[in-house]
Amino acid sequence: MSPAKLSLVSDNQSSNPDVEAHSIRLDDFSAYYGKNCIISDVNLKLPNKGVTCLIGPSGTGKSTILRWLNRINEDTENASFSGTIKVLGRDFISGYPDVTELRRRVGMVFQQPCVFPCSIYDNMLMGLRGRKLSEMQARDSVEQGLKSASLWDEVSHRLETRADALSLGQQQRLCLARALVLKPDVLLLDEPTASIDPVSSRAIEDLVMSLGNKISVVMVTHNIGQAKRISDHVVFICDGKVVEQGPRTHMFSSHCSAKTKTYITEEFCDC
Amino acid sequence: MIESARIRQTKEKCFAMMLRVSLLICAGTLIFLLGSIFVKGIGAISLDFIFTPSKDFGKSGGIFYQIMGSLLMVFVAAALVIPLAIGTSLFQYALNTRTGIGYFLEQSLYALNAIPSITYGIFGLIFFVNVLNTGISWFVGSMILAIMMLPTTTLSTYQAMVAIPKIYHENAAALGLTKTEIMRRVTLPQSFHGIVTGSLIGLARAIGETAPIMFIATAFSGVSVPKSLVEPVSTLPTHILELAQQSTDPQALQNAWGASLILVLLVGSFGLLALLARSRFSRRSPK
Ligand SMILES: Nc1ncnc2c1ncn2[C@@H]1O[C@H](COP(=O)(O)OP(=O)(O)OP(=O)(O)O)[C@@H](O)[C@H]1O
Ligand SMILES: [Mg+2]
Repeated sequence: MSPAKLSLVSDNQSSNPDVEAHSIRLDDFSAYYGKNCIISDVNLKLPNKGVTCLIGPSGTGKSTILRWLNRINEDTENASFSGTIKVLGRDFISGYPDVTELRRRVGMVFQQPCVFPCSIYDNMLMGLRGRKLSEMQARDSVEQGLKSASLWDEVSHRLETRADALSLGQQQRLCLARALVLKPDVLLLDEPTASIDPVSSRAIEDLVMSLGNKISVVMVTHNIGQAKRISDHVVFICDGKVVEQGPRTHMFSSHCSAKTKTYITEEFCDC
Repeated sequence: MIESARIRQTKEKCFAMMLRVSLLICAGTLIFLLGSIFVKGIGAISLDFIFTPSKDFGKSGGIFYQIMGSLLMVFVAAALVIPLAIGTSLFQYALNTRTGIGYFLEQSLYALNAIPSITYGIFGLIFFVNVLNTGISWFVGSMILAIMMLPTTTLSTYQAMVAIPKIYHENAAALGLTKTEIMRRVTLPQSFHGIVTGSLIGLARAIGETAPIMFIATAFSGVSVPKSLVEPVSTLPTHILELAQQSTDPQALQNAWGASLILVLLVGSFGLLALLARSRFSRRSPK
């Protein structure tokens, strides 16, 4: 294993052959809030590398899927599931008795930017606090993370100022940078560009594409043009079911199903 | 139609009138009280009054040791209560339930808040002074005051914790923080203003209490700054009580008003600090 790969891929990944093929695998997965079935019998296989875009109308359960992949929904009242998810070759419940390990390996950026009311620097170190880092190592990680989210140039001179003074777009990139310092193997992005301007949004798109060369990125988006620009793989979800999935070239070609075509061209779905 | 509109208008006027009258009663009482304390007390106040010990059961001299005694007792009480309040509210918050132990705990706090203060005094007298044989001790008084402050401080802290948007917890959890780390890095810092305001309000209440400490912690005369935990002190409220009992003497009466004014100013400044703390440390909501 080359040093470059070492830094991005953790050890247990190499020992499991199944992992090489799929970073995430859902088998007959259903999710519920109370008695309401939000997602029913979803089967998905996401490759180890590349950008997967989840598209579909509002309220169809895209966020719900993401929120189960790193078990954030475990702490949500009345949320439950059936079926199995495998994350990096291990069952997402029994394979990760320590949920924090799963969450460190599966990074997540939420739809709403949310920075902690402390300095930019402290925000960046939030996830690293448990590890014993020297001052130097910490500085390095912060710098690397901010650079990879293309935020370093804007904030390098004011790392000690409060993070909530940043603009929304900067806050969202800070959230991304904060997730990236943990060097996740999978990155979940829930409409990361929904609340920000076109320029920041392009910066995030570029970043997502370059991340896709190294790790698996799962991104929810309402912006069809964006999905077309950056995805390798597209999953179209409607009414809690996967209507169609496939490589970008297929989904945005004339060979896709009628429903997908309607949604992609008219952003409307009748299911 | 017109008839009903007129009735509606009349009703509305009556209601507005009622609001004004109740506001007037509240504000009027407050202004009258504070105003008369100020007018009658200001004459007694001088640097001498504040910085010299009392003589002759308060008829002459100042109230230096009373101020010291009051401050000592409430600050020690606050030091005792703050860790306890943080622990209790964290526990209650972590239970995250409106049933079972969490419910029992919350109800106990409200009940504790409703207990008449003289009951605390009697309890202190029986348990500490008689059973544990501590004698009259300011520290025992501080402990009793701490118990009295506990509900206010805990509830204020707890409410500040509950008000933290869930999204902060989810973001912290998504970064791989354990539940304990989330408490330390998110819950505690963001409910800090609740801890501060709660304890200041608790302080403001405790410093004015007479009944719970009268039998167990204070003496009416012959005290200075205590040198051990088991000595009595004199406090502003008990001193005012003593002066009021000699109110036939104009000098004692004057000093009673003066001491009252100082007490009110202390309470007011704690309240003001609480307000400042609330606006200064309060969590900025996410944009
Ligand atoms: N905590 C919750 N409790 C109950 N129902 C919920 C909860 N969270 C989401 N839902 C419901 O689950 C359904 C799916 O929600 P979800 O957030 O996954 O949709 P989405 O596809 O991400 O939509 P959008 O594109 O608008 O973000 C919605 O109908 C929503 O009302
Ligand atoms: Mg969503």
